[in-house]
Parts: sequence; structure tokens; C-alpha cells
Amino acid sequence: MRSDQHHASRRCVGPVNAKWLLLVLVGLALLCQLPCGAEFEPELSHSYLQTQFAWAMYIDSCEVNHYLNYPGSSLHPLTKVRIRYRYFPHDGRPVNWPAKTYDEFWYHDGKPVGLRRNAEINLNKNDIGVIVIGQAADHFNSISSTSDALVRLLVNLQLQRAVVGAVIVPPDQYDPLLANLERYGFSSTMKQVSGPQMKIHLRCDSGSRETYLCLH
Amino acid sequence: MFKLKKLITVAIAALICLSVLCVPEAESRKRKGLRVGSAQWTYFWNLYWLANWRRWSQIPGFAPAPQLQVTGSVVVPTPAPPAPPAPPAPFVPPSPASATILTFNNTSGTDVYLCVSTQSGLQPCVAGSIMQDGCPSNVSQLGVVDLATNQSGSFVQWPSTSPQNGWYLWKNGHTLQVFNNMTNPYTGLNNGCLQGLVFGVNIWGANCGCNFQTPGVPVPPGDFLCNGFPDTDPTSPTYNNDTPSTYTLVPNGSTAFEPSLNLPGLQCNLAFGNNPHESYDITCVNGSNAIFSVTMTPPAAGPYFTYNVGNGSQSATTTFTTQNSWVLVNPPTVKASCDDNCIDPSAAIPGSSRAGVFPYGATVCTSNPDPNPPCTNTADPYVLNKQFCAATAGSGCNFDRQPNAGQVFGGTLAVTYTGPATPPASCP
Repeated sequence: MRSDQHHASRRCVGPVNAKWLLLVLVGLALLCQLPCGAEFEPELSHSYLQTQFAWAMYIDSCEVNHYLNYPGSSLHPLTKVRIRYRYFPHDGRPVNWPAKTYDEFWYHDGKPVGLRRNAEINLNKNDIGVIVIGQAADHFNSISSTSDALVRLLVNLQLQRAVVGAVIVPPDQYDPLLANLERYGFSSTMKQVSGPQMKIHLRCDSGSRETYLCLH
Repeated sequence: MFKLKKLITVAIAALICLSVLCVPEAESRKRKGLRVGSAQWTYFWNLYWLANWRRWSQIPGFAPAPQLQVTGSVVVPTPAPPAPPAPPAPFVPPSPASATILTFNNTSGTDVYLCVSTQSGLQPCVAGSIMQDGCPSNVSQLGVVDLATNQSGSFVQWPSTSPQNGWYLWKNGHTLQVFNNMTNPYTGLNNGCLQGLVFGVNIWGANCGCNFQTPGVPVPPGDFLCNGFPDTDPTSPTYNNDTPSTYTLVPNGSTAFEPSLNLPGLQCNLAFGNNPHESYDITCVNGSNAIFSVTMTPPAAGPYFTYNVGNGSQSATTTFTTQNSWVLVNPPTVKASCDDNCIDPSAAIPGSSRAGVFPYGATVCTSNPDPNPPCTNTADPYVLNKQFCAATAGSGCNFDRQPNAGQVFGGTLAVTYTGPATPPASCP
């Protein structure tokens, strides 16, 4: 697990800029200690997640400046969106299942250009879980990339009949993510329609803001 | 020499091929009474025939079999496509047209199970029974119709020892109508009564659930309401087995919608209770796992439901919607728990309660502390957080109505399951 994390860091950060980016991230983390600030980490070890949900996923993104970076490259810069997951067994099985990387998406200009699936997930039907939106790359494209990965993940989970209880969003990404999801046809206006529907319960970390989005 | 051998080989092969090809044709011509020559000759005859068959086919007696004859365009009548089956007539529940209609709409985005519990099961005219005439006392006396597919069915009883509990697969985006499927023994008619029903999602309603459960520690066996859900695959050998196959995580208890509709006010054909009467509420007394939004549409001329928040008792003369929210009673650390059902954020008068919603632990609705909190657990480290508020309602947390003389019930209660009730990580 730790090895996997280090590899991911190298891919995302690159050896040269790691120190500076780490400083920036620490600074951002300090700035984000607002009432609506995110407390969750990619390891998904927060006890709230363990007590309230059967599984959790974490989506974060970062710029990958050292990929496809050559003169004339039409795919640079790349944004990497990583999805990690963790089970929280409540049926007596051990709870010390580590968080693992599920999907890695690569985006250019908000458009998906690559995907690596590292594992298969097998969630029990009707198990309620949560998706946590984590740190985003310092780039305006990262929100659209995160939104796209989120929608793809939601479709994937819906096909598995897993229930997403909430999508927890840091305060600084709440409005941009909401706007991006509306571009996919999600609407906060509930309509009385019949037929299969898809729903997102968007929530700011502390519950100070929440929005129900429907895709009819 | 080599070329000669090769030539002979090719010639022999050609003769074998011609024999294979032509003997059947020769036999055929023989049967038809035509001249039969050598195989080779027949072969060349066939080639010649094939080259001229269009012209020769016009010669009488030389035509191919009639079924192969081409004498112009053959019109093959196209069989008419079978008429589509007539759509089945809409299912009409046996309840009287004047009865209040109860529907359940699933907009959560996923298939879930609608769970129901009926009253105690005691029949009318039994000492201590509150059951009124013609009211279902077990799940087999309830009917369900899926309005999206027009298919009717019934709740699946579970466990086998409890005829008061049942479940029904509630598909994403589908609307179900639940109705009375029995007759009043005193009249021989269906009165539409739905007395004292308790509905929940994925677990039976008003259940303390598995509160305060330590992750990784299984809940105690024996509590079927908390311990799981049966196998719901009808093709499985363990279908609806009493041994739960699916664990149900209910960390904050469960929500219930509690309707009591079309009550005749009769027991043993004698006046009982407060005569014809209806009420409904959403209760988070035992916690909250689901968000219900209940929209009541009254008949234009009444009778109207009354509720009691804000400005006191009010009459809902038009469509009225009420909704519950989450409860956090299983906090991750020693932090304050909280209940989001105390205040209606959309109320016209700030600070008003949610109409028709029982807050957590408030069995008496307006009492705090409650004299008899429902979810007690001596192992609970947060034992002081058994109740967070009482409703500000003056007389209760229900919607109630009684018809005036000459009036009947009617209208619709549309219950929408919008999704799971997930509390935030910490209290606001």
C-alpha cells in the first residue's frame, strides 16, 4: 500500500518539484481548516467513514507535468485523477483493509485520454458508501476532470447497484463541481417522472451545504 | 516423361471429378426419361444447359420443376404481422373509490426494499385488540401494484415466524400503490382500511438498528431486524431464508412512515375509538436511515388534514409536503451527537418544527426528556444524547383528519424515498 502511494506521488509530482509542491499543499491544507474544511485523507481511515458506511472512495487529482512533455505535444499538460477505495466490513471481518487505488484517469483539457484500472471492486447490493472529493490539482481543468471521473464512477457504481449515500466535497470545490455536474444534465430541480433515475447527494464536509442533484 | 505422368494424373483426377459431378445428374435424367449419355457427355450437357437455361426453360416439357419455374415476377404474399397484444387493463385495487390512496415513489437512483409491518396481528373482537373491522393485520392481507408495470403482487413475509413483517422489491424510478386486499367480514366489502402500518426502506421501520456498534464487531444474533436481510433472489435455493444473507448497516437507526388510513371506526361492527379517522407521520424516534418526502393532496372539498406547528393547529387545504432528515447518534469520536429533525429549515416561521415528523427519541413528540426513550443501550458511551429536542408542535407530530357527516375520505398520500439519510461527519 505504501509502496503504491509513493509510486503515485512520483508519477504525479515529479522528482524536481516535489518539495515545492509539498510546501504548497501543506499551505493549502492549513488554509483549508475552515468550518467546511475537508478532514479526509486518501487512506480513508477517518472513523466517521468507518462507522457510517460500508465502503468509501476518494477522488483526488494532480498535474502530471513530466508526462508527454515535449515540443509539439498535443496532450500536455495532463491531469491525473486517482480513485481510491476501501471497504469497512461490519459483519465481523477484520476492518484493517487498506485503501487501494481503483482507477487512474488521465485528462487533457478536461477530456479523458487514458484510464488504468488497478483492481476490481465487488460491492454488496444496497451497501451504502460515500465518495470523498479530495485535493484537486491547482489548475482550472482539474475540476472538470474530477467531475468527469466522478460521473463515470457513479455510473459504474449504479451498475453494481451500490448506493452512494453522499459525495463529500471540500468548500473550495463545491460550487465549481456543482456547475460542472449540471453540464452533465444533473439538476437540483426534482421532477415527478417515472423510470430509472440517478441521484447525487452533494454535501460540504460539515453539512453546512448540501444539494440533491437528479439525472432524469 | 515427368510431364506425361503429370498429365495422366490430372486427367484421372478430372475424370473422377466429372463422375462425381455427373452421375447424380445422369441418374436424375434417367428418372425423367431423358437421354442418358456417358458421364463426360452429361457433364458437358449440363454446362450447355446451364448456359442456356433461361431460353430453354421456356420450352414446354423442358422446364424445370414447377416450383423452380421462372415465368415472371412471383408475388409471394407477405403474411400480416401479428397484431400486438392489447395492453392489459390497468389494475384497479379493490378498495372503494372514496378511499385515500397511498403510493410510494422511489427516486433514490437505486432499487431498494420497501419493508412493512402491520399491527399486532390481533383480530377485531379479541380482548385488547385495537384492530378495526376490515383492516389488514398481516402482510398477506395487503396488496401492491407497481404503477410503472401495472403488475400487482404482495409483500413477501419474513421471517416465517412473523406474519406482520414483509418486504417488496421497489425498483428505481417506480411508483407502488399499497392497498387493502381483504374484505370486511361484516359487510363483505373492501373498505380500503390501512391501519397502523409502519414502512421502512431496506430495514423495518422505527428500528434502533445497530447503533453504537463497534466496527468489526458483529451485532448480537437473534435480532432479525438489525442483523440482516434475507436472500431476495427468487432463483436462489436460500430465497427468503430466515437466516439473513445480507448484513444491513444501520448506524443511526431507521426511519418509518406511519400511515393509518381509511379507518372505519368500527370494531365488531360497533363504534370504536374516535370513529372514522386518519393520521400519518414520519418518525425518527428510533433514528433515521432514509429520507421520506410525503406529499398529501386532499380532496377539493375536504376533509382536510390538520397539523400543529408554528402558528398552532392548521388545516392543510391544498397539497402539503413534509420531509424528515438525518440523525447522528453514532458519532465517530466523543463528540456531540445531533438530530436534524428538530427544525424545519424551510418553515415560514423560523424555529418551527418539521410538520408531522417525530424527532429522535421523542415518543411523546413534545416532551424533552422523553419519559420512555426507545433506543436505550447501557453500553452506549453517549448515553446522554438520547434525545436532542422536542417538537414545538402544540399537540403532536401527526397529520390527522376526521370526515364530517356526509363526507368520505379521499385524496392521495404520495411518499417519495429520495435516498439514504447520511449525517455529516460532525454536528453543524
